Amino acid sequence: MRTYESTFILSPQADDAAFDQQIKAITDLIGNNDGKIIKEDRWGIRRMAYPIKKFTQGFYTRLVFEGNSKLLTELERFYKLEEPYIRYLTIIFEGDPHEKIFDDADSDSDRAPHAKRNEDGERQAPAKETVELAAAEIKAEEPKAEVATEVATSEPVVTDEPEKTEE
Amino acid sequence: MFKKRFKKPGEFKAAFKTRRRKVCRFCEEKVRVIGFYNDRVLRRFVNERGKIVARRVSGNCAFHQRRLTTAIKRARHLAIMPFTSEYYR
Repeated sequence: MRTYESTFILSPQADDAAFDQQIKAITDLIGNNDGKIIKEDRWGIRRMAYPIKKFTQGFYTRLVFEGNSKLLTELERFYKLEEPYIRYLTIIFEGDPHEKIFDDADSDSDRAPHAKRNEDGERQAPAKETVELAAAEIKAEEPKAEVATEVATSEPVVTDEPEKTEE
Repeated sequence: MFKKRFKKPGEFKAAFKTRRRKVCRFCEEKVRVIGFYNDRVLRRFVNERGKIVARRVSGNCAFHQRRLTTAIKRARHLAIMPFTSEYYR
């Protein structure tokens, strides 16, 4: 038995229930083949650095598990056969699973960088927006502009009144 | 030749002595495992074209440069890092 980690990207054209089902299919497969899940880490939908199968986004999930070589061949076969798994990577897990992962405090600190990275992903996203999303951005900007004009109009009214009183 | 640019005696030697020696940043922080998912770290060792920065430039030690290279290549496979930037595509 060895500790492995497997990260896969799901096709974004699905709802949360479908994501749950697709991730459960993998965890069940690991469980049915004498494997043991140590950690399940869902990163959620992320923008990909380059399009894969014409998708620009994907649902990332990372699993850390114990298993044997037979499980790995089954897992890789499953990834290849099933369509929603658009990319996968299975590697030997490095680090100290028994020290870091089972400790609650450390697992929280493990999650912290992910959370930060997700925030960054959101921050980076607007700069790299595609043409499709640019239209949505313009729509989003318009209400802000209206608010700004409202503020601008309301301010002169306030300033006008003291002027009138001065006169 | 090269030495001729330094006219005063001892200037050639001094120029190399004063140059700050680069220290591996991973050794400084005592990092053993460089995760492929940690793109905020990986992006620092890639130029704007997406190429991996050479060891002599980044100042990494051989051990960490090796780990870093595999991490970047794994990240590229999972589209966490780009193979090349969109600008040059």
